[in-house]
Order: sequence, then structure tokens, then C-alpha cells
Amino acid sequence: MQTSGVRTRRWVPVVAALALLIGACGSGGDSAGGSAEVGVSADTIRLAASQTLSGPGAASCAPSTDAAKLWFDKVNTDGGIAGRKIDFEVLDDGYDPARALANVRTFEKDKFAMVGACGSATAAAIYKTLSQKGIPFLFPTNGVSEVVKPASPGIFQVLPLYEDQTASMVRYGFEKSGKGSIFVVVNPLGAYQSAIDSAKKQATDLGGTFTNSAVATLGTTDYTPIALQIKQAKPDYVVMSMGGSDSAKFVNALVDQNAVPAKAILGTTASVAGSFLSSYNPGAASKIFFGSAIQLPAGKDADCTKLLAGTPAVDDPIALTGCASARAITTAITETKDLTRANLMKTIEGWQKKEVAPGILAELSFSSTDHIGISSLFIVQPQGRAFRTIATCPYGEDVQSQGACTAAA
Amino acid sequence: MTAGSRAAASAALRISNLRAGYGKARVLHGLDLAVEPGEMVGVAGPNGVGKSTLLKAISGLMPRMADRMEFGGAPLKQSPVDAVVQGIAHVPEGRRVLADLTVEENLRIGGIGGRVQDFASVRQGVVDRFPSIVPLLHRKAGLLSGGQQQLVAIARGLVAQPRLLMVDELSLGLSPTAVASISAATVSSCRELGASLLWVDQNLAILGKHCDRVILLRDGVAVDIDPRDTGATNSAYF
Amino acid sequence: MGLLLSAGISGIAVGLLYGMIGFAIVMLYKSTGVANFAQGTLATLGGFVCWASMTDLGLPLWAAIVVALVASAVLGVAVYFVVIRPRPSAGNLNITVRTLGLSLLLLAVMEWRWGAGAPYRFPAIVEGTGVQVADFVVPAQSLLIAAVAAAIMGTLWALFRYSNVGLSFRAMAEQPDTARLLGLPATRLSAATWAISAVLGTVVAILLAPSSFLAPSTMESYLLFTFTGIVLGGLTSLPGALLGSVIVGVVSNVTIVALSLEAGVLVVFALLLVVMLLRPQGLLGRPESVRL
Repeated sequence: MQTSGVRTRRWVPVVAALALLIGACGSGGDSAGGSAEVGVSADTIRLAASQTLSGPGAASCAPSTDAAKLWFDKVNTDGGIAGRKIDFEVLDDGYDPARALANVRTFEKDKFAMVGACGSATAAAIYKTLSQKGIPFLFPTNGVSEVVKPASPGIFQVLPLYEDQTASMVRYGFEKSGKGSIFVVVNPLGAYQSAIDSAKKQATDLGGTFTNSAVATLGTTDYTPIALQIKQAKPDYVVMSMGGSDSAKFVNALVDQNAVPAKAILGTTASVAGSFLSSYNPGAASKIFFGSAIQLPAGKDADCTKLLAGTPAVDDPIALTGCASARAITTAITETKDLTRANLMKTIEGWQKKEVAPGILAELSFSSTDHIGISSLFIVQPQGRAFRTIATCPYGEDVQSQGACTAAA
Repeated sequence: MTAGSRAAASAALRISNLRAGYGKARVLHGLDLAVEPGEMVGVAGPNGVGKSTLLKAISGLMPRMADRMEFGGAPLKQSPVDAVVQGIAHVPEGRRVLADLTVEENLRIGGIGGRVQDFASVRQGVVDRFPSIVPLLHRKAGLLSGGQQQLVAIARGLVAQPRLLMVDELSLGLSPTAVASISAATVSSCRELGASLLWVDQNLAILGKHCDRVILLRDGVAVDIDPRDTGATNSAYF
Repeated sequence: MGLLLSAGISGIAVGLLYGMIGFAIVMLYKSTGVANFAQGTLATLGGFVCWASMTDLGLPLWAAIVVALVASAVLGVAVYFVVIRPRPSAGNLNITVRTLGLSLLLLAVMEWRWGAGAPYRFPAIVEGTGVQVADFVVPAQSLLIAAVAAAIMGTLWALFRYSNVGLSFRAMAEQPDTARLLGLPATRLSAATWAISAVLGTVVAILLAPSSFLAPSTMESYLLFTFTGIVLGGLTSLPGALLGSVIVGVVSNVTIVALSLEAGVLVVFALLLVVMLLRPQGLLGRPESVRL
């Protein structure tokens, strides 16, 4: 870890300096009006993404842009969008905010829009620049509120925020198994204090109690101490917002130490990853409930399910999200008559209960002030080596005013 | 191979026109040297004249060129490991005992390096000749006095069952008493084991006392001298 | 109090793991003077060879382990001849940097071959409920790790102390030139050291993988603690590597429970700093005993 960090950062300044130069040269060319938009020509639409392709997060992140690329390839094979083919370039940022920003500077001169990729920390680093330059940033895998609350021009996401999810999951748990005490464990996925605070507020608002919380760095080698703390605190619920492998390690430590809470382990979309399924101890499965932005398993007839069929990606929530997001992007581009960045944003802001990837994503609704599209949260449970949707809960910024969850058929 | 067979074999060292040095600074300019089996040869000369270089060139520790370089009738290869296998043990300047190892372990290393078959009896034979080493066997070599370390280094050379023992600066930094006793033990051991000795030292007097023959290194070539002839010696040194 | 005690015992369990990785590094350092930064990735590669033997070749776990151990011995020798041996005059710093480069290369190879789909859940060698000590449940795998750690340490100790090969390793480590002068076959010994340390690494990877999962970067988060542990214990001492690593595990886990997770790392590094200032050779390391 240490060593690769040193290695990569050494050339970051060089890249950043180059990117600044290129950016300075290129910034004069984006003022042309009409359909002569940056990154759009008569036969091509240029899209790009800055993705975690190296380091510890690479294995779980890369499938999202890989799946997006597959979708764009399919669109191109089917003739493109109004005669234009999609050109999609992905650069590695190693989950390093500075490199993500350098990548944006490389892209800004000739890309039409940025496709969302892994990472709350990287999204938080680049969204301001993108918004100021008027470059659409479509559907980053982000759970941090500052990126989309309040709505920044051009920044849209389909995934729910971690802070809203921890509250929703507490509410779901209390609804299902009765109110009780909670213990919150988080990885610092971008800003994390709000995820703890909102779980605490929700629990106390609903008549439960908050026991304690713990923050563990991503890639923590030993979760046993936290499991021991939980074993002593004996909470009814453990609420977690952690990366896929870390979730699995943590759950396994709970099982090893007989510290699985009495009622449930509640988690966020961050846990809903192939890396969790491949390595968690199924002994605890019946007590695990995660929020998910996508329906799992994905509907058999969904376009992305068919596209990814026969590959491991068809069971990988992150790959499915990547494909569904790409499908949402091509839908938005198709529906935008005069293809400029501003018009594309208007198209998305006009979506109400829009089905962009039926069978995978719930309906999306945006407005000029609300750039989080999701309207309901799927509750999934691991079963063996797959997730299964067991309920759907209404999701929005005001958790209190929502109706009850409905069990899945 | 038994303990005695190696030492008994003919082990003449024959060197002619040896040239060697450090990088471009050549120290030896066409040196001729012969050591007969069982012969005790002293090599004297002032600092920097190439005494250590001569020994390192023989054991293959440094690059060298020569018209002829043979030991026991076979050419000497440019490899310290081969030199040991051919029967040449080199006790380097500064003793170079393995400080973190015990004395016993230092002796074992000598035997391992020399590919000695019957180590236990060879070791016993050497220890018997250096009785003062016995109480030190389980101490770390690095914690011994200079004289004790010199003893260990020579014993370590002898357990490799050499047919030629080369000792570099035996007397350096040691008290006259220590020099006297170690020298005597070394020479008598070599004689009893049938090994020849090539002994490099600045102390001409001690060489003269113990060796069959003393040569002087001067300007990179060897000159036979009579160590008791102080006039010749002084002219060589100054 | 019960919680702190349990945390302490859990720290011993994880510390043993750190220490086992440390063994291979210490053993190589003892014999060649090189701090091998590629130890972690070499070990992970061994773990993946075992994994691939099971999934791709369909071998049972025990056979896959044998394949992996043999393969890593060969790999260790290959690394020595290809990466370490050329231009020995470049010095130990140069060679240490080469191991760093090798580590990055191996990491990239593993990302390319096995990156997608990682981490993998690796089968445990022993199943069972483990043993309850205070409030802490020692998992069966941890008991196995403790037993293997003890066995490896005993074997290595005996090797270095009593065997001709081990003695030669130590001579080479202390004075490579003198060792050559005394007739020790330097090349063969060095190659053997690399083979042994690679095999050790693979043993650790196979023991570690069931709890940490198998991914190309699995070892990296452990290495930081391992290096801290072996420097704390004295870079040249095998018992020191174990002691230092167990101290790191116990101190960090107790601090985590008593204070917070961040404090755990902080206290460990503060401890390292204090030990380095007061006892630069580490807890069980020996000061250089060469008389000049």
C-alpha cells in the first residue's frame, strides 16, 4: 500500500502540470454554439471516465466501466445514436483524488460528458470543476451528499446517499424486527460522519437507542477488536457503511466472535458488491440486509442482463449498475434533439418516474433542484453466492414522511 | 578423501610473470614465485608493495594475469571456491573471523568450505595443536582479543585441510608474546600436517625466525634475501 | 477489563500472522542483507498458484498446496538469478529497490490474471468452532497458524543454529567476501535462501487467505504491520520478529478497543519510534559485535 502510493504520486505532479498546459490551450474552444458542441461531431460522441483501475479498489470498481463499455459497443453495433458512434475512453485514477482531477483536465478539451465511475472520494474531488466547466457528470457511484446536495449543474446520480441509506436501513430494521439499540461501523467512504449521525438520529427518533460507533480504514487487516466491542455492547442492530471486502471481513469477524447482533446487520449499497459475496461467511446470511440501488437478481429480460449473460458480470451489482447507468446515458442522449451539454442536462432534469433500465434500476425522477434520481431502495439479502431482493422501500430525502416498505413478490 | 591424502599429495605452487592490481593501479609487475611441498616461505616488504595482492591473486579474489599459475600440477582457476577445493587456505589480513558466530562455528565453516569429509577428527587434530582455543570454543568470535581471533582464523584455515596455508599479516596489531606463540603453533602445525606455508608479514624478524626462506617484494617483483643480512633488508625497505 | 483482555488475545492471534510474514523477510535479510519488499507479492502469488491449482486444475487442497510450495521454490530461485544476481556490485540499496520493482511487476501480473473477481474466498485448512479464551473466541484457523508459526520458527532456528547450510547462510550474511574466501558456494546458497523464503511466504499466504481473502493486494496491508513488527523485534532475530509482531498486534488491538481505530495505528508507530530511539537494534536484535 505504502509503496504503491509513493510510486504513483511521484508522477502525478508531472501529469497534473501537463494536464494544466493542455487545459489552458484547449479552454478557448468550447464557446461555439449550436450542435458544434465539444466532443460531438457529425459521426462521434466522445465520452470519458476516470476510474479506479489500480490499487486495492480496482477489482471491485473496474467492472462498472467495463460493463458501460460493453453497452456503448452494443449501441454502436446497432448503428449508434442518430448516426453518431460513441467513443469511450477510461483513464486510471487509482482512487486518488489528485489523479482523478488530472484526468478531468485531460478530458475537458474534447469530451462531451464524463461517465460516472467508482468512488465517493474521487467524485467529490472532480464534481466542482466539471460543474463549473459545464461538463455533464452522469451517474457517479457516489454516496456523499456534497456532490449532489444542493444540486450542482450537470451533476446527476442514480445512487442513494450513504447518510440517507443508513437512516432508511435503520427504519427498515425497526419496521421488520422492532426498535432497539444500534452500533454503527463505517469505512471513510468520502465524508462519513453524516452517515453515523443520520443513523443515530433515525434510531432515537423512532424510539431506539444509539450504543456506539467505530470508523475503520478501508483494508483494515483485523476487524476482531471492533467485533469484540460489539460483543460487549450487545446491540440489537449493527449498521454498517463499508466497502465490499471490508464488509465481508467485518461480518466474518462478528461470526467468529459470536458477536452477530440479536436482530440484524444492516448495510448500505457499498456492501452490495461481488467482493462481498465471494468472501463472506454465509453463516450470518439470514440476519444481513443491505440497501441496493438495483434489483437483484436483475430482471431476466433486462437489456443489461442479456448483454452480460454468460459472464461473471451478470451477477456483479457494480457491473449491472455500470451497464444500467450507461443505458440511462444513451437514453438521455437519444432524447436530446439538439445535442449540447445544456440540452442534455435539461432532458435529464425533465425525467419523471422514468424507466431507463427496467428490471434493474427503479424509476428515476430528477428536477432542477433534485439531482438524485432514485425513488426507492431495494432491500437485498445474500443467499449463498447471490443477492436476492426481499423488499422495496420508498426512498427520498425526508425519510420520516415515507410510507412503509413492501415485501418483494 | 581421508585426512592425510590431500596433504600428502604433491603440492608445489608455481607462478611466473604474475601481474595484478586494483583497477589501473597495477601492484605486481611480472612476479615469479615457487613454493615447494612442505616449504615454509615468508614474504616481506613494506606497506603497499603488493603482499596482500599476491595472496588474493593466488586465491582468485582479484583479477590477475600470469604466464603460469599452477598448484599441485593443476592450473589455478580464478575462483576462491576452487582454490579452497584445490587445497589452498587463505587467512586474510585483519583475521576476518565471523564475529556473530562462535569459535566452534567458525571452525565448522572452515570445514564446510573445504569440503572436509571427516570433519570431527580433522577438527580435533587442529584443536589439539592449539590448546588455548579450547576454552574459547563457545564464545562469539567477535568478542575475542586480537590474538585469540588470529588463532581462530588460522585454525579455521587449517580445518579445511589445506596443502598450502596462506597467512596475511599474522603479527599485525598483536603483542610480541602473542606473535611468538601463534607463529610457533602455526609453523609447527603446518609441518605436522604436511602443508606448506606462504606467510606475508611486515615483521621481517619473525619471518626469518620461523621460515625456511624469505623473499622480499620490491617494485612488484620478488627478491630472495637473507633476513639476517640487515644491510640488504634495509635497502629493500627504504 | 474482560474486553481489554480479549482484545489482547486477539492481538496475539493477528500478531502471529504478521510475524510469520516477518520470518521470511528476516531469514532473507539474515542471509543476504537484502530487505525484500517483494515478499508480500511473492507470497500472494504463491497463494494464487494454490488457488489456480484448485479451480483451474481441479486438484484437492492438499495437492494444490504441494504444487504451490514447489512452484514458489522454483520462482524464488528464478527471482534470484534474474533479478537479484546480475550486477552484484550495485550494492544492497540498489538490490532492495529492485525488489520494490519486482513487487510492483508481480502485482500488475496478478491484477491482470486474477484481478477481476477478486477477492476470493479461500478454503480453510481446518474447520471448527475454535476455543474460547476470556471473551475471545480463538478460531480454529488461528490455532493452526500458531502451531505452524511455532513449527516454522523452531525449524528455522535449528537450521540456522545447527545445520551446515544454515551456518553458511549466517557466514554469508555477515561477511560475503570472507565466506567466498573460505570456499562457501555463494551463488547456490543465495539461490537456496530465495527458494526457502519464497516457500515460507507461500505457507503464510495459504494460512492467511481464509481470513483475509485472496486478492492481488492482500498482503500489502499486512506488510506495514509486519515491517513494524520485525524492526521492533530486531531485523535479524527470528524470535524478535515474532515478539515484535505480537507486540504490534496486542498494542494496536488493545488501543483500538480502549480508544479508537486511528489511535491503534498511532500508538504502534509511536512505540516503534521510542524503541528505535532507545534501542536502535530492536528488542532482540544484537548490536554489531565486530571488534575493530
